[in-house]
Amino acid sequence: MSGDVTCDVAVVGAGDSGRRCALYCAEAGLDVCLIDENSHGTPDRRAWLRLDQSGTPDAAALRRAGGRTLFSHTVWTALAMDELPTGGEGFWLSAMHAGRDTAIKARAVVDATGMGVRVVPFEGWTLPGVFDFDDAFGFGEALPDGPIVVAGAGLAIYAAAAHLVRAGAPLTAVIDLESDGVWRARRGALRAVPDALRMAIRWLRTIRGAGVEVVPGARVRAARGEGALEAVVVESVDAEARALGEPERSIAAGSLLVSHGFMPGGNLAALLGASRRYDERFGAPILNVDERGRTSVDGLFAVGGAARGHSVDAGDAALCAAAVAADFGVSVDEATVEAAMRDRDCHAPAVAALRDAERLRTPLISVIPATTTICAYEGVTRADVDAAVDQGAGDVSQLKHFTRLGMGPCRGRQCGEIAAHLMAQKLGKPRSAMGLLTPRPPLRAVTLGDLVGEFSYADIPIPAPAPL
Amino acid sequence: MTQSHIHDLGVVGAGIHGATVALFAARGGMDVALLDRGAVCREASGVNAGTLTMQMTRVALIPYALAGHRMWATTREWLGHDVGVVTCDGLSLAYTEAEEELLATRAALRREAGAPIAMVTPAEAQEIEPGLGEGVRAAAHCTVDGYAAAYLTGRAYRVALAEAGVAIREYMPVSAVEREDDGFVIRAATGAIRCRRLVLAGGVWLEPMLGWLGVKLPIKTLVNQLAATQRVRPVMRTVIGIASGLLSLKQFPHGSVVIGGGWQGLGGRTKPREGFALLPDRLVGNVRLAVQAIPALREAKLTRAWAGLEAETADAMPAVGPVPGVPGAFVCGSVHSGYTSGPYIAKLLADRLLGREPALPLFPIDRLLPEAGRDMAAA
Repeated sequence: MSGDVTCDVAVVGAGDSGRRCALYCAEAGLDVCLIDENSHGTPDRRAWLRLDQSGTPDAAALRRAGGRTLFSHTVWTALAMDELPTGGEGFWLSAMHAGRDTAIKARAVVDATGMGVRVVPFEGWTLPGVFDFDDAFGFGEALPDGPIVVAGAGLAIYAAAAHLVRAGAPLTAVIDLESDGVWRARRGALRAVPDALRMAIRWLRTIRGAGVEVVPGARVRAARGEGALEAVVVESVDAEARALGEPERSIAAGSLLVSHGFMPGGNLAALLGASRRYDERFGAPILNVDERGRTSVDGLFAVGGAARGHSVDAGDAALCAAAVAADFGVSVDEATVEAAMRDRDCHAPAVAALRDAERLRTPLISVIPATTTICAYEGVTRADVDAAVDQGAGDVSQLKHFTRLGMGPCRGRQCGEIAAHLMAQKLGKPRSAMGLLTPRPPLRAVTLGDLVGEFSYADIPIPAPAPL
Repeated sequence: MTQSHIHDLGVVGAGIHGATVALFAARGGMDVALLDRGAVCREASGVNAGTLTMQMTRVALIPYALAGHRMWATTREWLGHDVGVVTCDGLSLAYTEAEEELLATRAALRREAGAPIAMVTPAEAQEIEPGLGEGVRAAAHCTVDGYAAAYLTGRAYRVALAEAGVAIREYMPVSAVEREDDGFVIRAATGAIRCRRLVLAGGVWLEPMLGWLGVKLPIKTLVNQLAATQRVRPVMRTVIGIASGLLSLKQFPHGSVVIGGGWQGLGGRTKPREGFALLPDRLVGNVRLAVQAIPALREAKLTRAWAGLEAETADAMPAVGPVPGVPGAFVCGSVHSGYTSGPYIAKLLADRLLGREPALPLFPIDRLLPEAGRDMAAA
């Protein structure tokens, strides 16, 4: 391990919440490291989605407050020091940087790793030309081929559509699971966050101004094409995404961008032993945290999307930083904490409304066709999942063994959740009875070459031979 | 007791050992219940590296491992279901003078015990495995080697057990076993199961299980770290190990490479699976051995790492046979690198239960019990 780093607090994930939390901790006098896999931190990756960018502190502000940044550092595994035979306090994070493994030792860790996008599979969703939002916006400036259709649920689909229009992309339609009426009914709740509401209205104006068709109360039933996407088949649905049986229509498309909402992350904290539960509101596992972001493990915290499953800053970064500081015996300005509390209370209805738009509609899962792929990497179909359940797979771990579902790079974070619902539906049990996949390293795929570096055989600390 | 049904045989622990005993006992005509706190073959039997090798097997177990290897190679015939077994050449490598000596000694002893192992030169090893990198001083070549997809074990066994009429009781943690006049009562939170004879097949949990019967058998728990890569182009065609046994390496037909060898992580039988932790520096050490052997692996991406438990008695030999002082109770497990020989050794115990003479000797645990332990059991 080269270039060891030691600090009081390691904040992993330099999105909005991570930056705020790191800054507040630094201002409280703690030695903070803000770590992110991207070279400038994360905000640019989902910048198009941010409702309010005005307040996000930049790295310079953190450095002025005495904090450090470790960007281009990919945390791939982590360990609680008290697990070691030698004992110890705090945490050990292994981060890959420029092809070298760096050990970061921190007395406290804040998981600010955000959220993951959810796509509920439908016929043809693995065709070239169909992307989830992270695929579509994660890499560089290249725009998807036109004509483009954006589909799914939540305000994010409008954010994505507006972003595409501004970038000059040939967007033709936005397909929203929610009806117009539902969004109108939510307007009151969204007023609690005026900046966000203004931003949302601006997105809508941008989309409409470009002559893009918005189709509310509808879902993409199928993506069709010979070898690549050519058209999407759209049908009308009710509030729970059940088909209304009205005639479907076909829209020509070169690219389809899909998001059925975002799922809370928190994989770093889970790997460090923080407890989780399945939560109906998110349709996904979520960390058990208290109102200030404390997990079930001492010294381990979570903030933002990783902890709360939404990215609207509701003061929780400040509350989390106050909790971290309290552990170090440092007090934080009470006025800041009170303001954060007020912020959160005031934002709560808006947060609930935005989450509700992104809720998991389980009927979408019920109607997945038998031949449709669930785990794209391992090529596991719904029929394979059903067959495994018939042969006795009773939880998601067993399903993974029976089918390899979830053994790919997503580690089952996406497909595992869909499969868990399929199993639960088939067995007539709640999703929570299907268990959670065991968190395991690596948090991010790392090449073996980077992992091992340059070495000589004599340097390998080979344990004593096995008995003969 | 309100439940009147009494099974001929109750098996606690549904790994390879318990599942195999249950399967052959049921096929032999016994009415069998198989219990596990989790799912069939979900612990060590489902998460090990799947290596089917003689070159990591203890010398005294070679005859059992050879028979086990033949069983694995023919699962479709006796189990009825595929476990993704591939048979191929195996190489054990030496990179230092000390390893060369160790390899020569170990290979000779294993060869004497019946394993078809021959020492080969680095050039010959290169021909057997074109993916080998530099630095090999000597190699031991075994023509009986291979691997299974361990994660498929549970699926294959579960179907076979159901077909054989075994009452499969998964997710049923047992809290105690009591002796009664004509057999045993197995106590679980969700009810009790009665049986005339009992097999405890709990792997690393054998120690607390035998405790139910008043027998104290210390079982050491190994926490073996494993790692797998994303799919890569074919980079190797053999099973590769090193003289000390601290590496097992193979590429599955779908392209994923699995790296094992028993580097120790953190955890144990008292911890839930999610409480296990992998030590990054040991993971790196294990992967360095893999990259030393097959340099093309540098391009591969690590996609999963995990840990599985392995049981070890005081003399690192199996615990398979009757429980002293407890008529009708048997123990089956703690076989070093036991995946290879597991089905065969458990089948021997099933033969014994069915009144047949096992083809090879069992491994009675009397040798491992202090006098006091035996007295307690007899009392």
